[in-house]
Amino acid sequence: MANSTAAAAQRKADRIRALREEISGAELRDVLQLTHEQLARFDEWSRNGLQELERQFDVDTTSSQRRVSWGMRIAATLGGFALCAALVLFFLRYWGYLETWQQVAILIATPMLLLATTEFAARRERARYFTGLFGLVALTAFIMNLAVLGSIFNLVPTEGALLPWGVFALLLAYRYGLRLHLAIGIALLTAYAAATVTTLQGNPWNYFAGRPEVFLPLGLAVFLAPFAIRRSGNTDFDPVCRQVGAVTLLTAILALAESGVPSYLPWDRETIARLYELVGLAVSVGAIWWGIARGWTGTVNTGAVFFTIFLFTRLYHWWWLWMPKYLFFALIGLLAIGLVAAFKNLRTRLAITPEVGAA
Amino acid sequence: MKTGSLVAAIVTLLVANAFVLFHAHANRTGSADSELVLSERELTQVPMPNDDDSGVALRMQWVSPFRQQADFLDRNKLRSLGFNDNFEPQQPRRVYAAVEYAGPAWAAQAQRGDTLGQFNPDKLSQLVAIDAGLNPERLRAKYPDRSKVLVMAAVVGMSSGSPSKPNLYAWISPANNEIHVPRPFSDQIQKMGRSSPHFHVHLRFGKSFEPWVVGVEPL
Repeated sequence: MANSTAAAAQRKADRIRALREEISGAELRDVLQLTHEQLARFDEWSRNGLQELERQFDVDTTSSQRRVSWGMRIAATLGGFALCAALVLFFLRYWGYLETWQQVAILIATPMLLLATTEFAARRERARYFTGLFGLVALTAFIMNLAVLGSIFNLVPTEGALLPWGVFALLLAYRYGLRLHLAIGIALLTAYAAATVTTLQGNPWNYFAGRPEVFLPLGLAVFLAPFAIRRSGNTDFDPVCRQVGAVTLLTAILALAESGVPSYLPWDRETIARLYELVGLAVSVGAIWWGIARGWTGTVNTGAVFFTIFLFTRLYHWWWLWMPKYLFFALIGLLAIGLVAAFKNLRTRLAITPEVGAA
Repeated sequence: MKTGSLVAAIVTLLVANAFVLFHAHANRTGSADSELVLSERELTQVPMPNDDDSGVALRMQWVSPFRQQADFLDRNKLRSLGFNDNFEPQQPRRVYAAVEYAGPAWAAQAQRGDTLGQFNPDKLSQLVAIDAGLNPERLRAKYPDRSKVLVMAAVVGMSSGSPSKPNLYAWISPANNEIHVPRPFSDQIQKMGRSSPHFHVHLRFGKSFEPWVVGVEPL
């Protein structure tokens, strides 16, 4: 909940900062002439507002701070991945010298300790840089925990471990407002659902990627989840759900259209591939349209990327074998220019701003 | 922040670990399903890429490395394992395999001498899959000799052949062929070094048909 309020506070701070910059500029002074008293009151109001937001939510109040914050986020994420690798490699380096009971104790204690560290960091900082870093390492430690335990006792690998991993990632995501953990948790639980369907059909669980059709309803369910799950906090999670769902759905359709993988449909492979190509084009166009209508930038971008991929792969199937190669690439280039022009036209038509003060 | 989600995270950690440990304990308690003494031909040491992994693991090799093409995987058997009647390349299926050690099946393979074109009986594993089924208890009932036949999780698949052998063929392989060696047994194997070690490994399979090492004898 804290993170969604922090996100809203950051947006408000950005608006106040932008307004201060505009009012200080010469261009606006020609249009809007404020008295000294009004300027002073605005200055006091905006300064107090920014200070209060910074005090409460640790938001960035200047452009420089914002750039540094981006650097901190990147450093925290990379640092988290590096620590994850260090943790796994450190354990592998020394575990052979330990007795079994020592290995088990360390494997169980490590994620618990890192969870405690994550909780400690969350209670001490508002911006959640260290929280995200330690949370990532805690999740890695838990994954290593179950994977290595299974290896120590020579258990036949099953899809079962994906469920607690996914649940743990989601719990960290919701408790600390961590979007990366949300994406990882959704991916793990989606894989678990697909793997369970695979094993129920009698196949080894790790072949779940060989049946992409299983991911179609799963991707759609993840995409639509924000409609079904209403939360008062963590509103920044909805775009993550939509993004993961859209990528899962469209990647599955792409695999079915291009890779000739087995399908549940009772038709020949060529017919199935052509069908999924059309479905892919339709779904990606639908994603663009719906994303524009609802203001979902991520969905629009994902739809545009996959539309381009579907279109170009269809053209490849039609033209590559018989057309001179220079002509093929020339036509692709012209088509790309056409798409840019079409999107530019669409963008212009959407750039209608409401009147100031309009209801 | 409310503590409910923190408690749930801790419970998730504990329950998952408890489940794994309980499963391992259940596999190893009571009487073993089978116990064999295998040599380095059947259990080769997994080479570690560098010094970054101090653990020791053995890889179980059947008479064919990777995938064994087996005569018993005929159409009826494949149908009973759940493959459809088209017999075109399909997704593999989870099964249990009855694997015989140093028995008639291996002797027949040795006589035929057709394993991968190059045949050296001194270096060849004497483990041969002789049957497969969906129910491990029924498989054990069919092969009751627990000192000669082990029952373990396996995978059966169908693949297209190579350009020289284009026909469709069925294969079987272990579901999990790496076996962790705990201390102190791992110390014994590491002392032997990596160049042509000779040893016997006492391998036991439990109620869940999962193995563990109970002894190592350097030779």
